[in-house]
Amino acid sequence: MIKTIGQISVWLLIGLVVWMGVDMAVRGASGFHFGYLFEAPADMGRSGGIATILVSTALIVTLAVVLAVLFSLPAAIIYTEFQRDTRFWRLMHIILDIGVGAPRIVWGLFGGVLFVGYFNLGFSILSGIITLACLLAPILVTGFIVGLQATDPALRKQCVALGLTRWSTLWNQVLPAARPSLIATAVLATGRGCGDAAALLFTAGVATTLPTSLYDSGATLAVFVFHLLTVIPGGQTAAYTAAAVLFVIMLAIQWMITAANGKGRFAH
Amino acid sequence: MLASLAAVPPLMVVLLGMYLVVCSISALLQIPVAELFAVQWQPSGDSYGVLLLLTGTVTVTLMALVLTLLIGLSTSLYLTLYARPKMLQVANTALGTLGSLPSVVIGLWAMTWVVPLFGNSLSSAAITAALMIVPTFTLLCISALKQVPANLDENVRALGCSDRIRALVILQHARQGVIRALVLAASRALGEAVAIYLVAGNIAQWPELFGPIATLTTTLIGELDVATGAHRGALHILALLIMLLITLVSLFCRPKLIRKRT
Repeated sequence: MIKTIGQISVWLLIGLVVWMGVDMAVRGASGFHFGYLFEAPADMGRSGGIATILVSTALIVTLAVVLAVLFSLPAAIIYTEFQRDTRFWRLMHIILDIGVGAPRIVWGLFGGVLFVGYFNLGFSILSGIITLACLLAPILVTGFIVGLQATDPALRKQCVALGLTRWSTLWNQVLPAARPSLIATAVLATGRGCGDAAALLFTAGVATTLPTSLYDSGATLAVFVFHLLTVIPGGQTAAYTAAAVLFVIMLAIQWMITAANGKGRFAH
Repeated sequence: MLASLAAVPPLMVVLLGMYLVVCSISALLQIPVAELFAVQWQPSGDSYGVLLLLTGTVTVTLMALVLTLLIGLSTSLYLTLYARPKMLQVANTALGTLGSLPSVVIGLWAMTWVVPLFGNSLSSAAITAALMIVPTFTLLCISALKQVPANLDENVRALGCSDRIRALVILQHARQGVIRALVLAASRALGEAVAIYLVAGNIAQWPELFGPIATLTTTLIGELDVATGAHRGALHILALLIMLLITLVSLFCRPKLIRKRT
């Protein structure tokens, strides 16, 4: 009984993924043409290519991940080095959990009012980067902490026995040992950033022109798809083609995570 | 230096929370409290009853969770108890792929294949939300079930128990991991905006299986760019409500990051 239901569910899920892939490929192909990846969108995104969108996506996601890592890695290091079972660290843990659970749209609201309005950055790539970095930071911190804690405890003991300082142990031994998992976490965050529409819609805006500075508005691929589906009449065909490209990017990122983890998805 | 950089991520989260609370309080000064409990959400008529939206969010999440439990539990039990390693690998890749898809892609697919069957409705919204959370839930379930000691299963089988008992014993042993996966799935479903917005129909009314529904998140994403004044304030109350719901659910069961030092 359980075996049969399980078998059906498994095939259902596998079929679903294949179905989605084929659906994206078939419907996406109708809008795909030579030079799709190298042309700017025309007619509000209904025709033309997605070159400018790809530029904005790369710019926003890369800078946001770099910015978030810059703050998250120190946070994770301090957490693993100094945390004790005290009230302060329990509070930190709860705060991080809340941060991970905060929906993208709530970050979007926060960034949209604070950075776009209050700090007067406007609908700009810069607002988008900062908002996205805020969204990614808790995810990165949690991932980094897991990675750092998964290193062999014997490593630290050996370093202490050799008389290495805490900093030297960390920099020369622990971080290199944890590197595959740290990289996997960063790539995962890149994927989250590429797929995000809710947080960037109200911060980076929906402009489809080539951004010339960080103060220009620029839509990422996911925002572009969402905009085509909800605002632009007759944008569904073009949305399919863009979504197919997004699908392929996600597959590539997924493959990179598996490769970075090395041991497959059940490593942790 | 390191410490000041490290303080930023938690500070931003605290800032987010404070921002939502402050904005909600200032919104409460503009909107009469009785208005919030009205059974109507109509910003053009100055009615900001959050009750319908709250019910929408909870209904969509609960329905999605039921679907997820059905599919996720049976899949993970089958994969850990019966499937050949090759099958596990294939399913694993499929689940990883499905889980990594952005919500717009899932929403677009649901718009073309689910909406024609069920309309822009609560059912479509629940199915779409389930699609978003099934992969993570199943993967976490599989790793929870894998941690059950092998000799437990061997003993059960040696006693000649039926498949049903076997599954129950193993689930019983892995229940903490399963509950944790379920809580994570619930918090993701509560916060999902884009995919649900595309299929839900977004009309604030009591939940009907085949009628349109609006949730807290879909209202936020649909109305944020046109909202001003009291309407904008009301949206902040919605955001605070989602955060409170998710925080409640996730505090209910948290993975252990803090380890006792040895």
